[in-house]
Amino acid sequence: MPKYGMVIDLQKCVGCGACAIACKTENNTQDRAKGQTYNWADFIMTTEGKYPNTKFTPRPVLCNHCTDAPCVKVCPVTPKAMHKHENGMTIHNQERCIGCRLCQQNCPYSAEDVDKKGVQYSVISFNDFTDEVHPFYKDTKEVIPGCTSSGADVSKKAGDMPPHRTIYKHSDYANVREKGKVEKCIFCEHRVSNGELPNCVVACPAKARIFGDQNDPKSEISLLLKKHKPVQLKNNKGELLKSGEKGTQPNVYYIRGFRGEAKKMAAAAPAKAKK
Amino acid sequence: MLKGKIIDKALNAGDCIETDRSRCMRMRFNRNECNRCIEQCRSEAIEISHDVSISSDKCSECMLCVSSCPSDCFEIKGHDFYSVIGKLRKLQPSIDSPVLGCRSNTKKPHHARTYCFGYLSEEHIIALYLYMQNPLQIDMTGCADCKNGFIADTLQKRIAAIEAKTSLKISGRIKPVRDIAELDFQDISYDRRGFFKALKNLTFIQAAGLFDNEESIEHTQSYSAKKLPFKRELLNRAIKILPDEIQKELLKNCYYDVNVTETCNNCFACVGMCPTGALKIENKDDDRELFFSTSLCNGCGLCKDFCMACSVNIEKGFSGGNPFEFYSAKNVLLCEV
Repeated sequence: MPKYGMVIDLQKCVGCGACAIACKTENNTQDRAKGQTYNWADFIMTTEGKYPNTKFTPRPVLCNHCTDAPCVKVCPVTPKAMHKHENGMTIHNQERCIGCRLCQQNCPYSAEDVDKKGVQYSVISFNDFTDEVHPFYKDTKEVIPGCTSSGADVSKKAGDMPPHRTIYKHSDYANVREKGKVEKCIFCEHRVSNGELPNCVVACPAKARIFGDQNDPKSEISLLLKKHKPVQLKNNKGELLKSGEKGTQPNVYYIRGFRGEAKKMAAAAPAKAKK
Repeated sequence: MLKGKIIDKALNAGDCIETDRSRCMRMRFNRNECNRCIEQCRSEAIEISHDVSISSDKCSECMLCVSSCPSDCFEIKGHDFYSVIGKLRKLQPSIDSPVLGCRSNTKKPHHARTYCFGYLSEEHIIALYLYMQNPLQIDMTGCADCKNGFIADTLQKRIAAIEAKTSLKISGRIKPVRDIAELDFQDISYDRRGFFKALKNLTFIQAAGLFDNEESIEHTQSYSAKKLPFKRELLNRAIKILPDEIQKELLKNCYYDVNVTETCNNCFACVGMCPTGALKIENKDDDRELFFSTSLCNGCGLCKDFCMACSVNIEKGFSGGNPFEFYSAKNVLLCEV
């Protein structure tokens, strides 16, 4: 059985956002609202220092599909709505989700409200009980009065909701989620089971995302993990797991970070400035 | 093809109870320990682990699981209680005391036949009491020879329980008859036209029975779907037409009041957990609040057990205003009686 994982090569990633857009169109996620991001592929962007000595670092983030997933442990329903598939993916079942949000509270990479918690992203997002899903495409108000059509008009003309809806079938998942249920990255399992790669991987112009089977020693991901010293995220504040620290055993790895390089650059910078 | 269906139907007659795990309290919340159906089941046919299942080999079809589950996890396939009531009501002008029989007691003539009486919960009995103008005889003369004979006692206990709780004189109108000598069956006299009409109806009902279960392969609903249990629906109908006094008695003994303390942090996990939709979120000014309606509550207590802030209280008895209205769960209602 494969154990899927992802490696992100930070020296190849420039933070262009292609992965985020590809994910949003593939998985029909809605716009960020009320502390919920609905971005299954997101970023931690850090800007340090003062102009002209500034340092900008993008770090793509997504569900870590942890081996020891706390979201699965706390799910109260039977059979669990949040569950592990044999291929290592953490998958959420729509039918069984009651919307209690325990998974969101217990995932170290998620927040119930990113605005209130002051964090940049949340792996798990919640579709509220009372708010409409994709409200923009249900709103009949013209975007610019007397000039443009409304979101509802666009989705009516396109014949789907949202208008750009990607229609796919998944054993546990609806391609557009319902009210009162959580949602998260499913590693594009619907694509992977057809022999395709996750859409974020396909979209990355720099090939910074490498997806594959960690159990296959010859796979690109296994070779990269052997060649470079990978790091894993500890939480959604950007902290990393220290060596020896297991955390929730995330299956998304980062290689070739700029940390070492950055120190060298910082050391060189004042010397340059003096000249 | 039809022949195959008929044979199938005859062979599968054993499993006439459908289970819907999404309604089971233990399936909804893994720390819940509800054991009502298992305790009631004498043939140890029910198993609850990763799913709720009834072993059709063991099940004696006493239907006690159906009546004991507060949230309708078990349902009798294709059974419509209202049609039983309708059938009996139609007879009322001509028959002094109609007889309701069970399917396994085919030796005796009955005006209407139904599954084993074990499914008749207190709510069902109240409904029968309300909708019947003439006394109804429940034919239990076959119970002594039946493997489900214990149901006769259960039914009488249930009648006694209602009479203890309320001032409804159930036994005046619902009469379980155990002694053959006491059973008084009055035959319906059909004229020519009536006979053919009855024959036509019977044929239709039998034919419909062959086709009704086409789609019921997967019966589990979405866990998030809210469904009012049938028993609660019956009781809600009953309190609408009962005199005020009895309504109050029923509200006190069969309804629940849910309220939350100040520690409630508006996480609304209870709204998702509730199987019946008794809790909902209401927008109030810029804030949101938890609202509750007793008419939709089956008293399962999942909201209280699940609340992570330990803010939810559930008490038996409703003494507020209109039981069909939603009200803020934060306004603790004080007993007025």
